[in-house]
Amino acid sequence: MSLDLGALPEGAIRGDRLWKRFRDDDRRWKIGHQVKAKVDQWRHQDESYWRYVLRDVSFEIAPGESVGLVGPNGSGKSTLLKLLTGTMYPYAGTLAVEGRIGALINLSAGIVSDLTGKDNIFLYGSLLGLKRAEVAKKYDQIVEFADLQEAVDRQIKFYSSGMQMRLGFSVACHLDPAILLIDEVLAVGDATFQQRCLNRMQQVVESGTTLVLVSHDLAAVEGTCNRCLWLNDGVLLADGPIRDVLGIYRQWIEEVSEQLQGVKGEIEILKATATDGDRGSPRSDEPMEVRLVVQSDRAYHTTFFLGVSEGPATPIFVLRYNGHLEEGENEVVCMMRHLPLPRGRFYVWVYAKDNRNKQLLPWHPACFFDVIGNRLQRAPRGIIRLSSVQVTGDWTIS
Amino acid sequence: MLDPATIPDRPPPELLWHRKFSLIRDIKEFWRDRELIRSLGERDIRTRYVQSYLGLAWAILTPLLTVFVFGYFFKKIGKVDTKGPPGYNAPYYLQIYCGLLPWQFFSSAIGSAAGALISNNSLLNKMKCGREIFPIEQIGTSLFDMVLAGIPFGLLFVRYQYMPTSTIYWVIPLFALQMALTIGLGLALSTLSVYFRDIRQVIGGIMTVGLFISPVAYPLSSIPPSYRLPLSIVNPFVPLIDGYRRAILFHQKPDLHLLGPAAVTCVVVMIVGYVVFRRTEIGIADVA
Repeated sequence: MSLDLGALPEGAIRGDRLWKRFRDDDRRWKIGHQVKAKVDQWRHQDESYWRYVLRDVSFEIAPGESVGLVGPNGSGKSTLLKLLTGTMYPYAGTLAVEGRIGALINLSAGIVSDLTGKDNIFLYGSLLGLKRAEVAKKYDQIVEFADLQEAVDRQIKFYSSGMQMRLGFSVACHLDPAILLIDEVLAVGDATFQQRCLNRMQQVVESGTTLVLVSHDLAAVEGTCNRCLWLNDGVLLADGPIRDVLGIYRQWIEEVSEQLQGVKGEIEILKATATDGDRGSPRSDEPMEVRLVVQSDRAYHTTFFLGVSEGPATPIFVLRYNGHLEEGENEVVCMMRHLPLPRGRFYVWVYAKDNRNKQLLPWHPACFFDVIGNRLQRAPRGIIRLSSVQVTGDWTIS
Repeated sequence: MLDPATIPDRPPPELLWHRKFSLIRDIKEFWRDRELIRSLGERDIRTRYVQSYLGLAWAILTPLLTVFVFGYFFKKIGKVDTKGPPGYNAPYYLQIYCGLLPWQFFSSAIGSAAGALISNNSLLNKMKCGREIFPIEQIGTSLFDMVLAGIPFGLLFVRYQYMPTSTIYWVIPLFALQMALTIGLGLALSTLSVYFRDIRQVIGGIMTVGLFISPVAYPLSSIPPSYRLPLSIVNPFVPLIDGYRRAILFHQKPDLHLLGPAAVTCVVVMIVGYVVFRRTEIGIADVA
């Protein structure tokens, strides 16, 4: 694949076959070892020293796009973001980033703990290449958004981590960056501030800024971005519209979790199905029946938990039932009268414990099912829906 | 969805990324970042002085104390030659101050420049900015300290009723050479000490030795003539400090036979230092 290497418009990012590797040995501080490494490098025998964390990653982001970057821990998301900020350089490939970058890579990004909040705002501004007067113009807005009017003359080291994050975020997104890079930091803020951050990100995107958001909070990514990149083990596995990529990503998470099934509890699920009660696929707002065939070595007083999720272990809703299991095969049936789910693929997760709170089955996915029905109704942009629950409403306006 | 198996183990060699050097672009970017240097310098000066009780007075008291301790012991116990050239009756404390002021600037600038990238780790790993800013800013802060420490120097002239001589303009080229040496060394050590932490420990020792192999507390005439040239090449501070003294106190030109070779050393150090800095700066974020 080759990309046209023309001049990029402001706010655009283009990565072409990016590779990044890190030294993996722990003796690199020793000068003798360095010399040996240099000799090996010169003889092209140094491959074993290196671990590749980004492999052949190509993508292009147009100005004003909002892109979510997802993937499991250690997949190279933060490294890619550091390449984008320009603090790290690629090992191979080319990367072009056009325009001023506002980045919130880490809580302490651009923050000097010995200075006051006010000094930090100006310092950060000059790191972004802004004149003092330009920062002064935005100063009140920044302080107000971060809600730090009282604390702004205090040294940062006396701030709580939430306050630091608020200041960092507020500065990063108020100084008119052409590109805003945010790495999994919003989790520190309280719920109201998180929502304000998301609203603000939305405004920033609407004003034409390019946004790259790294997060494990898939709901936040879905609410904010319209495109998604999925990195796995340094490889860009998927790149496309947010809902599509998150769909296959969630499915993949589920497949990985499925390996948990090998971990047998005191009891075992032999078979699990989720149907409309008559072998068909369940439909939105219609009944659904989950049927589990459970093998037990002895009799138990059991509490069953049954959850439905879009893939990850966090369920959309949970049902609970106390019952008695006999030795041998048991059939456990759960009937739901109205299935509050939209069209799509969902997963049944199961957990069981006995009456002494001893775990009989770990929380694990038992089966999946495809719902027939309407598409999920969209939330306003920037509003996070915690899970996709479908509720049909009868509306009237008079 | 992409199949990861189709990706090779390592990138094809023609894809390897190489950094393009451009001195002109570097200078342009450096000029653009001047605001940042000012902010960082202000931060350093503030955190150093504003939060201490005596504040800026420390910058004046410390060198003054050093000069008197030094002067007293070398004069009384070391019995060094305290007379200048015939006809100039420059007080010994002024002679020491002439050497100590530039030397202290050099040693504190190198010490803090070497640690600049380590101590600003949190900034430079998360923000894009020219890395040369940090060592240069440290050198600038040390320069500020030297200016403060120059105030008692001026007061000593008044106290001893001694006039700086008219050859004082030689201080400008001498100081330019000193800056070249400082910047070159500071840049190179700032990145190298990220890779090899030992360097910062070694610097302290070298600076102590350097204080005694430079004519800070004794005149150049105490060094045997045959040693002067090789010493000047290795340690440009030998003719530099002597030159400051001659220009400010003794109404003489610096010894150009020694200063010439030393100037070559300074310029070479600056160029090599800059190249080393550029080459090693690329991997800073990977190891810091």
